[in-house]
Amino acid sequence: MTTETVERERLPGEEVPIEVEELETEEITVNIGPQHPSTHGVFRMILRLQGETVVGMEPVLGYLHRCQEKLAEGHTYLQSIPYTDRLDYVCSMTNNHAYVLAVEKLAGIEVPRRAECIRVIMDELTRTMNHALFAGFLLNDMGAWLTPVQYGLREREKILDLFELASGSRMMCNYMRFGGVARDLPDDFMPLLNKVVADFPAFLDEYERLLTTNEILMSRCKYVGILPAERAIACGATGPVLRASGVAYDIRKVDRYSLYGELDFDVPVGTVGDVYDRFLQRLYEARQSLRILQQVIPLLQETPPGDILGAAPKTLKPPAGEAYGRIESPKGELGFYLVSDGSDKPYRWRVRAPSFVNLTPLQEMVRGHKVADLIIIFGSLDVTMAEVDR
Amino acid sequence: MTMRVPRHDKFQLPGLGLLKGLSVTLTHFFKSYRRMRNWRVPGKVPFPGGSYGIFTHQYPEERAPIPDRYRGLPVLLYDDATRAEFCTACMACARACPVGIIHIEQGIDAEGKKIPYASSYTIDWDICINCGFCAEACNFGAIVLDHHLETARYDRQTLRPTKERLLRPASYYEKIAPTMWAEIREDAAKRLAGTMKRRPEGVGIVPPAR
Repeated sequence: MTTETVERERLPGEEVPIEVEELETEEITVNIGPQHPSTHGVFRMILRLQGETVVGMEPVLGYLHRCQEKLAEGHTYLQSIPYTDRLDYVCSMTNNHAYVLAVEKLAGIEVPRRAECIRVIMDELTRTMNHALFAGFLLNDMGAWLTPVQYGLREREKILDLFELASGSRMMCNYMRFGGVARDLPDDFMPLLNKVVADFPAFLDEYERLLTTNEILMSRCKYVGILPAERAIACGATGPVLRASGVAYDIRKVDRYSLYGELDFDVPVGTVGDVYDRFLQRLYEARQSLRILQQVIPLLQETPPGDILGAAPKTLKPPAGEAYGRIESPKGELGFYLVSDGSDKPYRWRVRAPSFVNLTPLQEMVRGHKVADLIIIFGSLDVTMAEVDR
Repeated sequence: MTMRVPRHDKFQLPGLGLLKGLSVTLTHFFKSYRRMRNWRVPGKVPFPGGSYGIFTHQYPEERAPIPDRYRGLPVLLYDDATRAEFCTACMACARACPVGIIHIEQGIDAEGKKIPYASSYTIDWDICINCGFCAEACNFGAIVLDHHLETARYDRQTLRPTKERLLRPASYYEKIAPTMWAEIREDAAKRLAGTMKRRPEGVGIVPPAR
């Protein structure tokens, strides 16, 4: 075998693999993707295989590149908001939030409290939705074809209904504006939101009963694709991928942007950093999101209705300078770096996409695993290719 | 606060996890016979059974209700009583459009002076990204977003509608989006009265349907 086996101490509970004398075969190269259902978009992996074991993996990116950063330089600041929806099309609300946060920093725009409450509600709904969907699609990759994902999609549908009520679109929300949000919440929004917040923990319990102690899932996920904390930090991974490795780094706690400074929530962290930890970590994070929602709803009701847009000029011309606005998106640190030359269009518009950076450790995580494990390791990173290539 | 995620490392009876999962699917199998189709039907309690029941609609016979704010393809409005177009060719929508698909030509009168009337108005529906900035930018209530969903066509040219095909009566918009129309109707009526004074007689009037 030419596989580089990583020498490390076995973790408690981890089975020691039985040493089998393996036949050394001719190394073959296999392409996975770019058109493959398990690659969550158009991602190509050039695998070097020894039998069924991955010896080397080379990622090929750029199949979905659509010049968004350059396009934005030709648009006004406001006109770029619909483009941010299309970065990570699963969580357009958080994309909007990160971008408007950066512009508000650049132009120094104040946001009314009600708008901040609405933004936090939308962010946390997006997070619950994304994690419910992630758990389903991870099981899809594992071979539990379509049944578990139906549970996630069903719950997501309710949250998408809420988004449609508030913003007018299910996925391309385009809801946030500089200094607030586009419109106040409609009258029938709050009863539905309360219903979703009340029902969601039951769904998570059910989902855990369905899956977390399932023997097949545990044997497929445990100690597969381990990402140690040091490597996760070195690769710049953020979000659930980093926290599953045991590093309690959450930008909601670090930056305390929006209302997060006054909200009480925990940061769930994993212990080993394998696929199982990444799966469970997201389910627990969804529970924390619901906790945040329960706290924000009373805060929202204290604020006067209609006070949703701060004083932002109609044609925004921020002073020359630069700003970096970042938030904790469901996938990790989503940041927008903007450089202004004083005109109504940005001089530079750069996205720090969590999906892209979280792909960095993939190459070393898959080495030595089987091809079927590679699929779930990739799935456990929860990347959206539209955000990777931009 | 940091919180450790439990890893379920303790011994469990082999097969127990599987059985637990199967019990969940079995519950759904039986509960789905209690049809709970009133999810998303207006006037009824939404999601009555939490996560149980039937969540799908038998499209196209059954349709989910569309909220007022739904952002479909942009259309133009005209006043019902006078049949006058609201649009004044101010170009605010064309400037706001991120993809630049609104093409307007301002009308001129006999002396060659510009008048508040769009002599030609085209939207490339096939490129539209449904962002709704045109409707937000419009001060006259002239351009709004339709709620029509089935936009598939055989011919691409039909997705480049001219003004005649874009115009809808204001009562149509009031029917599909009452709250949205209530927000803009007064302002639109006031501004239309001002526009009519600056337009020559008979310009910008939609011919009656045959």
